Amino acid sequence: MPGIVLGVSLISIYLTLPIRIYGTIWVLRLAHMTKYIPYGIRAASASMIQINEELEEASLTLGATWLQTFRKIILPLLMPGFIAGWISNSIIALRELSISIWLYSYNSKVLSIMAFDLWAGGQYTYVCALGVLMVRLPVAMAFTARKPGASVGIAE
Amino acid sequence: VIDLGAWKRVTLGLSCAIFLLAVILPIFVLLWSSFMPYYGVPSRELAAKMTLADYQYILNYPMAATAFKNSVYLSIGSARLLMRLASVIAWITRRNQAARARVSRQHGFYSKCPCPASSWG
Repeated sequence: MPGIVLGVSLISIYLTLPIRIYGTIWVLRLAHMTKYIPYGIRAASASMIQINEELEEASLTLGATWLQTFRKIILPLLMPGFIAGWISNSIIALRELSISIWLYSYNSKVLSIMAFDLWAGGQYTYVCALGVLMVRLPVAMAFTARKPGASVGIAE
Repeated sequence: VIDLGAWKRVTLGLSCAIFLLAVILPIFVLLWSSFMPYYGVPSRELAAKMTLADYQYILNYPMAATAFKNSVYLSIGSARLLMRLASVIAWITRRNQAARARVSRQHGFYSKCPCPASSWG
């Protein structure tokens, strides 16, 4: 879904509904989650099919509730996919502009909005400096995902 | 795998050229401009005017700290929340047999609603 469509629909919803989150960081959070949930489900369900159902059944027959089973059995087994989805979603959410531009307010400005403001002000070299600083963050995340992230999980 | 034979070098050159145009040059210009006092074509005269003023300006920008904090909070925090939600949804869509006992057919449908494509695969 294009971010602009989602942004405009979220504005109209939270201006009409009596939930006062418009103009706070929470509406941005909600928008990011709505936009990127397909990527998250992709990552999670890819590792979900690698987990045998019998492991959950064993936990359930031993008297654990579904929530306990999910937290103690499924989530640890899901961890590699969970971390991969977490980091890839963080990286694409960091440079997201099309939703943020509709929903930001003075106190919930993000880096991409700041870059856009500077660019609109014609300060191109400042935008480049900000860009260089911004690029370091996802690069660091990607390296973390490669090196220590590869050893996360229950398999030793 | 397709054996390219004599065309190997040509295609290697082409992919290197695309990499240069799409990745190396843009990053070089980004780095170059970030050290320059004004926007310009890379040249020797301009290189003499190299300065850190742009970085100083960005780091002293009034909204920079807030924007950075918000960005990190949004990207890392909501991605974590999102993955929690997504793993429950993935469980519901993958374990349809077990889920049917707990979650009604309608709930299964709603969980697929936001992204039908990702639950078909």
